[in-house]
Amino acid sequence: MFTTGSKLFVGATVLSTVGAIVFGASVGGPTGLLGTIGLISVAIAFGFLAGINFFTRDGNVSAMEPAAELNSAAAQPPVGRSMWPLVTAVGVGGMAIGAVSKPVVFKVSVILVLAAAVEWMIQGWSERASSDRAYNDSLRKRLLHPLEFPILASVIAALVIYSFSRIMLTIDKDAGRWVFIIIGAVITTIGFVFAAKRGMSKGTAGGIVAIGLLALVGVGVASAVSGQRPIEEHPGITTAVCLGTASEAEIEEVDAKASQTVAAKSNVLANVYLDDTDHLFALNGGIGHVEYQEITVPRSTTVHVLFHNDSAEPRRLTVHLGTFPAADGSAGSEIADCTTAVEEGGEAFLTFRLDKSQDASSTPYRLTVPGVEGQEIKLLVP
Amino acid sequence: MAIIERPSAVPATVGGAAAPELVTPSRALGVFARPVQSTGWKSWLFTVDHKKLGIMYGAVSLFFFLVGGIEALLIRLQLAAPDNTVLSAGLYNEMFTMHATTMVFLFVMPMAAAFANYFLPLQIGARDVAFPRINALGFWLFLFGGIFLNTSWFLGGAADGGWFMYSPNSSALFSPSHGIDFWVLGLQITGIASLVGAINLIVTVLNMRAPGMKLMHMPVFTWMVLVVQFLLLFAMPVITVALFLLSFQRNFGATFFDVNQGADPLLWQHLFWIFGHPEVYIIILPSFGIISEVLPTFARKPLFGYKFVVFSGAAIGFVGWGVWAHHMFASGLGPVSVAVFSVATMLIAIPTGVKIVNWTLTLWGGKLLFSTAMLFAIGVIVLFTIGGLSGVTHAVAPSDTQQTDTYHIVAHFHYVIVGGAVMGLFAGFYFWWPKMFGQMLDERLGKWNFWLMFFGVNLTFAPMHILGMQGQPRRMVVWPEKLTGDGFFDLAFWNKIASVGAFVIAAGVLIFVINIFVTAKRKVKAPLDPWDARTLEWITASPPKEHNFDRIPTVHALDEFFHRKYEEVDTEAGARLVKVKTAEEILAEEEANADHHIHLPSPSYWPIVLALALPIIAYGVIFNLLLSVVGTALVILAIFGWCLEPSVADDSDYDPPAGGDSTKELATLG
Amino acid sequence: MDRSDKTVTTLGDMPSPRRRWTRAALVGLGLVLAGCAKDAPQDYFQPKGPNAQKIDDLQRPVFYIAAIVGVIVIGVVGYIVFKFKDRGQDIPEQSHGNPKLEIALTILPAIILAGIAVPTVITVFDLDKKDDTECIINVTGQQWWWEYDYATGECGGVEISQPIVTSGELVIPVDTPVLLRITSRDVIHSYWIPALNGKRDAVPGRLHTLRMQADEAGLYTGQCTEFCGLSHARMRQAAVALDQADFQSWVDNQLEPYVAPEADTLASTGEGTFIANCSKCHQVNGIANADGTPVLSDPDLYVVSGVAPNLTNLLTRTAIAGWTFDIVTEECRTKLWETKGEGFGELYLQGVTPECFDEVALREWLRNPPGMKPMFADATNLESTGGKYRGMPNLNLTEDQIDQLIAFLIERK
Repeated sequence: MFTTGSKLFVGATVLSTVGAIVFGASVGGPTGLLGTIGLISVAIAFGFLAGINFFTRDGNVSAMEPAAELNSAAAQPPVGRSMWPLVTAVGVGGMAIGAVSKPVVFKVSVILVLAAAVEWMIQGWSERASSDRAYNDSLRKRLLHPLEFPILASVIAALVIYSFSRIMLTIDKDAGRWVFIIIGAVITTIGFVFAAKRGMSKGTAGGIVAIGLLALVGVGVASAVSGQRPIEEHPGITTAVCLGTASEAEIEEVDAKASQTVAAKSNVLANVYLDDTDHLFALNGGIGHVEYQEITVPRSTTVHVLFHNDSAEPRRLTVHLGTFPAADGSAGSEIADCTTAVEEGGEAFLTFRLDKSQDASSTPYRLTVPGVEGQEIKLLVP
Repeated sequence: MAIIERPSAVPATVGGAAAPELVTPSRALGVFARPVQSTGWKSWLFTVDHKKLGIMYGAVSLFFFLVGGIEALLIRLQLAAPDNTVLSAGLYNEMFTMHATTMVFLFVMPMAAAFANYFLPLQIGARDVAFPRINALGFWLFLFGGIFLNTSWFLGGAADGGWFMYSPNSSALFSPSHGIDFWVLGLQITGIASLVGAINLIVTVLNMRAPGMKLMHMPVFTWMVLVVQFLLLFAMPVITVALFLLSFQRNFGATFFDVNQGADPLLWQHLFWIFGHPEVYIIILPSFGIISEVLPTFARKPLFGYKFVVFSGAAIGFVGWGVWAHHMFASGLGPVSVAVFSVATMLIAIPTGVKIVNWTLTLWGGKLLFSTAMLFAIGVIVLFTIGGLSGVTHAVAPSDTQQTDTYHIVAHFHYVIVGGAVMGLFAGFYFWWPKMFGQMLDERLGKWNFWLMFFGVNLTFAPMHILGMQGQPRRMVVWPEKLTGDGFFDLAFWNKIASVGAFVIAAGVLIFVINIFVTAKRKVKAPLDPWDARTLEWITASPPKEHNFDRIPTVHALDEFFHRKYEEVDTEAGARLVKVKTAEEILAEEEANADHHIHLPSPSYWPIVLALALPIIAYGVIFNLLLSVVGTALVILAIFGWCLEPSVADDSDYDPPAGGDSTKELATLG
Repeated sequence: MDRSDKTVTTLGDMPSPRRRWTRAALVGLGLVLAGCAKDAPQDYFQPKGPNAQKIDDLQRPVFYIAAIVGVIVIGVVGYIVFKFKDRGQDIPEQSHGNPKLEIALTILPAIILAGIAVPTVITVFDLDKKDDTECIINVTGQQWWWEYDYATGECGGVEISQPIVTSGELVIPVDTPVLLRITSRDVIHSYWIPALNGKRDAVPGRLHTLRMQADEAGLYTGQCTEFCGLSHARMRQAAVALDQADFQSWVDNQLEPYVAPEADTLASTGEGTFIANCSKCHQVNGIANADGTPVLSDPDLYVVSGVAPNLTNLLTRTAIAGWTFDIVTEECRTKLWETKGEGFGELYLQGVTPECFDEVALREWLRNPPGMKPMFADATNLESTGGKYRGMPNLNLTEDQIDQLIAFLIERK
């Protein structure tokens, strides 16, 4: 019934289960919990091993097939070379180093040891699976390739993406685009060469790819160590900027990176023009022949206005979004939004939405151009 | 279950000086061995046989056809009278959404897949499809996806956004029930089915044709299926992306279509219709293929202008990608886009017209036999012409701004889909039933079936032209009496007629279902070649053997089977076509020269397991992400099982075991 | 012969060709006759303005061509079915086609379609013109009603000094090209007055234009035609065309200052009830609290779409709640709908007169709005919308309050 080996593990399972119960019952607190969980885990592990041992009958094939004494896999000489002892050793060493230096080294080493253990185990098992070496090899592949390929592919992809992103974050913004172009060109060229030279050996191709990968990862690691470049931050458009009450420097910075082109020109409620005599007027979207000094805006609707600056100065269009009592009962302050400064002949979009009727605001809704006096377009919100 | 294979039965050499013989296990490694049953329920559950899968596709689609039909009847009941209260507004919206979704995704598409699966390998002289397990996966995904989609009825209500699911009405703010989540995820699952099926059939057609079968020797049905698979291949990714965007917007707070975040809701419309218009051709082309088989058979002459029909099918496939915005003429695209799409839409009428003309000319000068299949095929010509012509009126963009979203459109596409696609599928049922089951569907009931459906379609959908022109919009739960007018164009009258018509169609379908049972009960064996047919599928037994052909036929001509039966004989009155061989003789010849080594794939457990995992993930996305984790684990398990299972099942594992000198070796692919 | 021929004899009779002919003729006749209908109000073959007329000029010939082609094809099929029935003739020659004939039959439809394409493209651009329009009205859709904002400025010769907000009935001057600027506050809707022009979708974040012009004074009904959720069927509208003098009177009336109800009447109690219960969302322009401060609505705080119909001149309109439920008697409605041209303006400007007023719908609506028109307006739906209603909730008004409100509202014209 029970084989010798499984008896040992069954015993160990029972023992650790009893241990878990005793420990859990006698020692309280977090230590007790931890110890109990540990012992239960041990019990489960032993139970699992007992099951396997029982299932494989201690790996004793001869019990069922006497002939196996001679021609079973176990009777064959071992295959020989294996990289897994070395990898395991490196992993264990790494764990030791990691334990005293960086946790990340420790974690990577643990993963390495686990991976090596799985690989070693299955390889070891497969080498004994039958007496046909080629078959054994194919067996290992069938079991492990479905694991190895996706995991390796993900790891390599992650490495490439991580390294590349570190590089791009480290180097200068302008250099970045060249690096991008060059790496892309190199990869494309190598791809072409591979495609053209069909006779190329697997080793050569693999070598080139490996070197490229190593170089990328190397530079990536170096970049990660040296840290990111400082990321520029631009102040956003604020009411203060729109009303001209912000500092000169802040306003300048807002406008520094402004785009002067507009892609979408449809769907506008109105086109607002500042002409060369600093006269501000609106053409309602649709009717191009009547100049308006007031625009009716439907309430609670997102609307777009397209601002055209035909004056000599850079100008912005500001929309005054009203003044409402604050939550504490005070009068509140005026809200505004605006475009960035638009050069002569430039255009900019201004999108806004007015949720309250004009009577609810203590200041009128209107469009103005800061710096141009006496010009405004009323916004009527019934 | 064994992770270690059993040792070989090779006797050991004991005590000899010679090195022990190498032993290769007789049984391959696997978590499970491959299932081997060829009878019983397991043979269906784990099958990879394209014919069994085809039959299951058909049965399930037919079931969903009845479900969608009941939904349609409820809709027509609600609309039979003004301000009616059969359905509530919410339920009505769910009903028309699910009616369209069910009919398109769970009936017409998979029913076409049923015929494609069953007959495409037979028509090109192959023993199975290229990837049999993927084929099985496709079916199970369709089934589980369809069931998943319909469970929404019982879990808080079905989708209520219309099958076009326009944003932002489909966002969680405007449709707070889980219906749309079910819809999105259900369509993702059935979408995978369509996509893998498409790849499978394309590879099959391109690589597995019998010797001598050039592309231009392929039957038109196979051609049309090939075109459809290419359409699917490119269209399904688009809808998949769109559905993912919607899914992320509804479930994970993304803002792809949120206007307040600067998005444009028209993005959804473009994505949907770039898929949605090719979808129309995905629906109709298989049916075109079927009637292109049926008409020549019963006219006793080859398809008129085979090349024109094939190329116009391909042309429809190409131009079909350039007309999607004609669903959006009122969306505010601007005059340039509208003009371009308007003209492109008119262009597509040309290849479609070519087909009608060629079918008509196929009949011209023929020797017409009016079997039920033939009646349905002629019905398609008539009804599709009406639908196509009203389509031309929609192509005229300014008039379309009047017609769109009225019942005129409903009339148009139902003439196309019911009159074109569904009637074509029925032609296929009657034509191929003896091949699939070895029994003839009753022709008398068939005639009833045809006339009721033909009459019903006209009774239901012809009045809808009038309803539309009188300004009755679609998707309205009620129509008010004050807008009906009176006299000949009384909307109330025509709505009633349309509702009556819907029940006439239902009666026709019911007769078909009865016919199936009557036929099955009668157990009369059909003749081997009841229609004097023309293509390869008829060269083998009915129903075909598991391996399709005893000998892979060598093809010499289009309509190979016909040319094996008939030869031109000179007589005094000039050359005459004379039957030189019967189907039985040809079959006997094939059987006598059977291939010795027949290569057939084994069944597999994993397609159904993998397919089952996806709805679990989907339920998880809706109710609790932990369930998704379980589903994902099952997916990974199933994929590994799929990879690890033996490519070869042992001969002795077969039930009954493969005997004689033929072995059942297994294809490693798929 | 083999078994296949035996099968043939069991196939039954062919259908009577006459039946097929009759049906073909009927379908064709139906198509043609539909063009001559006069009855249903939303028949789109009855253009009442130049834009719809352009469409009609285009669609009629296309319909006729389609009908003729249809009759020919079905006729030919019918003939073939009759002529080539299996009467025991020889198996025909296995001919694979006739390329010349096929090319000819490909080119023929191409020519017909080209003939349709040219006027189509011309009309598309024609209908998109905006510069010649003389009046701008902003049309905004929301679940489930239409709001109209009249921009200040000239509208067909009439000066609009203050913005006008109304809903349901779009009032436009006759013979004046009007430009609607259509958008939406929530989901996509579509604005359609079949007698005046085709549809245009109202898409949130986009502003679409649609020309409107009526040849004759009158009321033209329409319907939202893009599926917009639960009460899509109950989102209707009408365009009302008035000649210039009448339009002037209408504008004047809309802009008349608010007159509070006489003190100590039911209506004046109703004013208080309105302020207490309705004014959170509904605006009546000029209405003031007892202390003289204006009462301003804040629908953006309570409604998903951010607005509720402006009720300043409610009784100038003949239907409520998405122009679905009539507040006039059937007789008055029929008269109003059927009067065109002369006399219409006078009739319309009377608004809802006491003789015509039918309070059933209004009363029922005040009693329980979601019961009349399905909306997501009960408290159970507030979670998904962040505490805002979609549509009008049941305010649990007492019958007395309803009486007061009706008395108050009946004066809003």
